[in-house]
Amino acid sequence: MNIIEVKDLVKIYDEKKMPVYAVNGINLTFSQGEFTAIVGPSGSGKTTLLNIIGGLDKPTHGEIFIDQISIHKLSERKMTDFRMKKIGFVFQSFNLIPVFTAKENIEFIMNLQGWPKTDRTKRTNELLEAIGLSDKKNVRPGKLSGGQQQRVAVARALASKPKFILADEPTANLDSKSTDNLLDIMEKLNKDENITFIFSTHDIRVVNKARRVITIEDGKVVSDIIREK
Amino acid sequence: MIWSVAWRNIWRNKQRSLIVIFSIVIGLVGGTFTAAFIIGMGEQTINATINNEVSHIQIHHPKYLENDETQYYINNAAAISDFIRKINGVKAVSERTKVVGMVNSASFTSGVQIVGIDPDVEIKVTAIHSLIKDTCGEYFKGVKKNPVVISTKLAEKLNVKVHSKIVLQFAKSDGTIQMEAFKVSGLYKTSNTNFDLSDVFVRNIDLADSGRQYFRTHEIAILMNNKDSVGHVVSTLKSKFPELSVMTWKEIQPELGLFEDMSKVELYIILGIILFALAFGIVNTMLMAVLDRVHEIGMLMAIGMSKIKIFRMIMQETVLLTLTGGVIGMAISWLLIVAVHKHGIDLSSVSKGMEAFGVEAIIYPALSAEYYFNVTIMILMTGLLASIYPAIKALKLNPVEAIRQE
Repeated sequence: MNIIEVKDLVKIYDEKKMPVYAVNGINLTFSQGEFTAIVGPSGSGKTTLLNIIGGLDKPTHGEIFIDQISIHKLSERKMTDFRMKKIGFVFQSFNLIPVFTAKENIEFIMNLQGWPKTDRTKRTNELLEAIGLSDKKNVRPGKLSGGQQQRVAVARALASKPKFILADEPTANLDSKSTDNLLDIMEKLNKDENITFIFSTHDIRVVNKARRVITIEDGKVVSDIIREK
Repeated sequence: MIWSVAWRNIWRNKQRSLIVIFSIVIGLVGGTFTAAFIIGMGEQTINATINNEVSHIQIHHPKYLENDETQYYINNAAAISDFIRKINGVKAVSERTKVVGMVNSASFTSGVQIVGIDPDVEIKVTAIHSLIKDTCGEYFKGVKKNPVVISTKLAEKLNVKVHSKIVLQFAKSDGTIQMEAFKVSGLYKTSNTNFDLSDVFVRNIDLADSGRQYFRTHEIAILMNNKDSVGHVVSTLKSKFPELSVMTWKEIQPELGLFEDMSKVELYIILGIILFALAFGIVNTMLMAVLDRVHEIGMLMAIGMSKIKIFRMIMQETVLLTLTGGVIGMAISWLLIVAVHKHGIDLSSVSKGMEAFGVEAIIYPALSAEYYFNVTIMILMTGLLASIYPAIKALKLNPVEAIRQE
């Protein structure tokens, strides 16, 4: 079942002076449970595509449907709420809240959504267990390694059980051991929780793990390969 | 949760936050202490004037106030006094005979206000008796015939001491001038030089004329248990005795009333100016805090923190920062005021100048709980207002651009 539908997507920067086509007529669909890598050279439009799918940026033309809802027609307030409930984000530079512990960072979205404390604690403990950081739950991000921080970021993205996770270059700041570890965890969570993962990446290790690889160049999809694993 | 984030965010840059907190503390302590000094001084002056000079309420013949002429006395003063004593909240009532006259000694003559009193009644209304030092005689004691109590300052001018003779010259009720010798029984000293130089106290029986007919009562002075019940008693008396002039201490000495009202407002003006200046520092600090965290705020927006929650977070952070300084500042102010109030601030070096205005040489700073509460509200408002600009700045961030910014 398709959960995301990208239709005739165009994003033009500096439209009036010197138009730059960051995304140029992309059509894609994503199904529940996918583990997809979007690859391409720098400036090919990967991050812009992810930002538009995530409702952080608006397309110049075209539409994004998530669960049959055209998200860019939503008001700003509804869009924020939609992002909080349906989408999980993992960023290149981890972006954890530095004044919160690992546990509090994971709980944050659930807190925003008003989950009861017992449910929050249960879910947080499950995720800490899944990412192998139960013993670090009371440690602040500054005292965690890059790999550990990114695992917490993944747990935070998954915490409120979103429809899908958008991960923008999640392994770019990690060493190979941390990358392998993180990918194993994400793959396991993808299978266990049937949550769709969409990465933008340069990392060949991420590409190798992906079951679908979409290549973008100059804002256009040049290949879309589904691999059986 | 937002309170928790806001509180922890304050301590991310300890140095910056501590500088703001420290400046709030210094500003508040300075402002509050200055206000406590002014209010303490004002209250002391008012209390001293009420206790030593005017009492809370005075009753006169309406025409007496125009010229201080002795024929304008209060009819049935004793019955009126008895009525007043029965009013709830009235502490004491004294009838006074007042006449303008001259005091003469061997070396000096001065114009004075001669106040004829019943000493046993007057001590319940005024505190002049308590202002006579051990070495300065006694309040209408130790002198059998015609005792008089004058101030040490007047005694210095007249060059007289305790038990010295002075002559009082005044107009009798029939208009003739009477000269009577009096013997100084006690020397008082208030903080008001003008009062000290003008008011001499004698027994009203000693102001009797040759026909042994007493001078009539020109003034009924009323002391209340509580300053707050003055208005109620005054309205009762005005309706009961419409032919008489009933005045509050504020009406008798309007400059004191103005002093009281102004000192109450002054605190808020002083603190308002201080908080206004501090608000710029707070805005600046919070603006820096927002600009330092552009990336993080962008991330919070991206993951679903609504703009209203971002706004609240910045606002709460500012309020907490301001209140932290405010609470510490108020606590230190309170401790300082309590500590200084015990012994007072001795301004003897400038007391001569102050006494000319009826201000005592030792000032006891004081502030009521109401002021602490109101100032805390002012601090809270300052925090709220100072948070608006940084919070709006945070709201204007675009999550995509903010996340890109390192």
